[in-house]
Amino acid sequence: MQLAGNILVIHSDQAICRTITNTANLMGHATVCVNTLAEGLRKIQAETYGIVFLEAQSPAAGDQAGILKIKSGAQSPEIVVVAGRGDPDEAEFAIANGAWDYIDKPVAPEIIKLHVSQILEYKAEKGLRKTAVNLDRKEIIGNSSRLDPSLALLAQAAQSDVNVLITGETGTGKELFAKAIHHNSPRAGENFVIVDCTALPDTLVESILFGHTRGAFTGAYVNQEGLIKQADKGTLFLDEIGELPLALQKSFLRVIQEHKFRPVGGNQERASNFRLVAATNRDLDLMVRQGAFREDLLFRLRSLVIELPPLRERLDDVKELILHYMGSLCRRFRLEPKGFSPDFWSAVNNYPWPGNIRELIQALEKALLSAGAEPMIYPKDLPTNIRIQVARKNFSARPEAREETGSSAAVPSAKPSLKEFHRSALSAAEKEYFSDLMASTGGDIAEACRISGLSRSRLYALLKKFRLPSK
Amino acid sequence: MQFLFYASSCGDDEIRIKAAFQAATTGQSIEQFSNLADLEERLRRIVEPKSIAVLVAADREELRKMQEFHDMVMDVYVILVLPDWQENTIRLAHLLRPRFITQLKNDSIGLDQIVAKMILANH
Repeated sequence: MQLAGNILVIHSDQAICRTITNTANLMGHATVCVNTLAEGLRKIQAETYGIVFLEAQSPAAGDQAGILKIKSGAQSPEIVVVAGRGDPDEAEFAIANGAWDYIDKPVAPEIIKLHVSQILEYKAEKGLRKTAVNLDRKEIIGNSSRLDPSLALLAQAAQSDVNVLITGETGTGKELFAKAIHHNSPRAGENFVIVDCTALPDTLVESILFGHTRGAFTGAYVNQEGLIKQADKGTLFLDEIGELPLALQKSFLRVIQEHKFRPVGGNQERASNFRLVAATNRDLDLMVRQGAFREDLLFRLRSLVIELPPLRERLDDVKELILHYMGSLCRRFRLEPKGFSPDFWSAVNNYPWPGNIRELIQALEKALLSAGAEPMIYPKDLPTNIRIQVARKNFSARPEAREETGSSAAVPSAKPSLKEFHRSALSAAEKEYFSDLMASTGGDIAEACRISGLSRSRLYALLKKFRLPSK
Repeated sequence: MQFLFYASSCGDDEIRIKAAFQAATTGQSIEQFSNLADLEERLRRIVEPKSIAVLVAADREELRKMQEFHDMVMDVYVILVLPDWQENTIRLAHLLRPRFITQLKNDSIGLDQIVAKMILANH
């Protein structure tokens, strides 16, 4: 089932029909083409279409115009009107009657791609907010409005089998979204198979994906199914798809199109009914332009694109995220739940979290260790780099206050020299490092030496300097 | 990045797997565990992000017990070495979100290269 992806082309010009059909097919959309309005209207009565490319008519058609007939039907496809004679009256009539847009001749594939992508995105955001409410969100935490479009698209993805591309910075939760698509889909009871494209050695990539037969190569002692077969009836998640070797992209494109593959050393093709979800933090369009990624594969992948916002764009979710992860970390570390000082919340809300949710979790781990048995977590428990950035941000945000009063609660009244500031910040950072180091190694000196790269005597000297326990 | 290795047995296959892991980590320290309770205790302390854990499941029951660590290995790259390649075993394996799975009897290929690539990609 493809919700918004099915496309109908109604045009008397065969060349235009071919251009649109070929382009849409390449993007992974089921496309039907007819040459008359009457045929088109019959198709719309029989099947569901998300987009209709319709030949323009002159205003003289009046209420018999195709656009009005389609608009008055039960479905609500977006209609892209394609030039007939190609004059301004056609264009005005189309737009005035609710067309998505009017395309003049010649009809270029790039224009078709652009309209299809934009319409799918628009329909997903507009029409599926309701279904997002019913999602089982699993570990996707937050209620920021900035997250709404992503959740709406997730809901759409879960209800269809269309290929999904999830984009976003590192640490934004792409894998969680992929998992949530799987869990909310009819395939939830089957395997969710992760392919880590960054970890595929060139020499083994085909064997890992397609499997191999016994004796296919040295070391292949037994038959082994590949990940694609393991994802049969389930979901295949290609993490960091931008790292998929170029040489493999062509054969993988075929697998996506036909859902068939041949194991290494095997004679027969095998089938796998997997649903594809891919993720990347890279600019795949740029990679296409640089020749590092196949354009046809990209179009196949992004039938539906979910773009995840960075945490700095949804800071209103920080508190909920912290409460959630602090709870699970306390359970994991077998610690009593802790409270937070008011200035802790001020600090975390004033930090842009460039490493996103992953950085937030790591900061909480360190804060928990730093707090030790204390029942409350304070800003001082946060990693030093975060505190420095927050302090600098506070400093630069309130110049008038400093000028007026000469002092502030957040800024020392006697400013140190830059050299002193550096020394003090470095010392604080080193102290925190060694505190974390000893906590994370459980006081294991040998392990602490290994991690820090210091000799035993040097480590002891520094622990003494910072008055930290050596056990 | 830290390296963890779990195997409850110490047969030829486990030794071969461990050697492949060691080869890929080029002499860096590997924390080794031979019972699941010890491994669980370790996971209840901080594990550096993008650490790699090679877990050898002696049988399906042990693989089932590993599911209890599921929440603790969310940010760890798990490489699972399975006792067999049966459908139920593979199904259970994927619940742990492994970055790579292989079978005990078949891995003189793969594991070392996979680990080496993971290390390279995360530095």
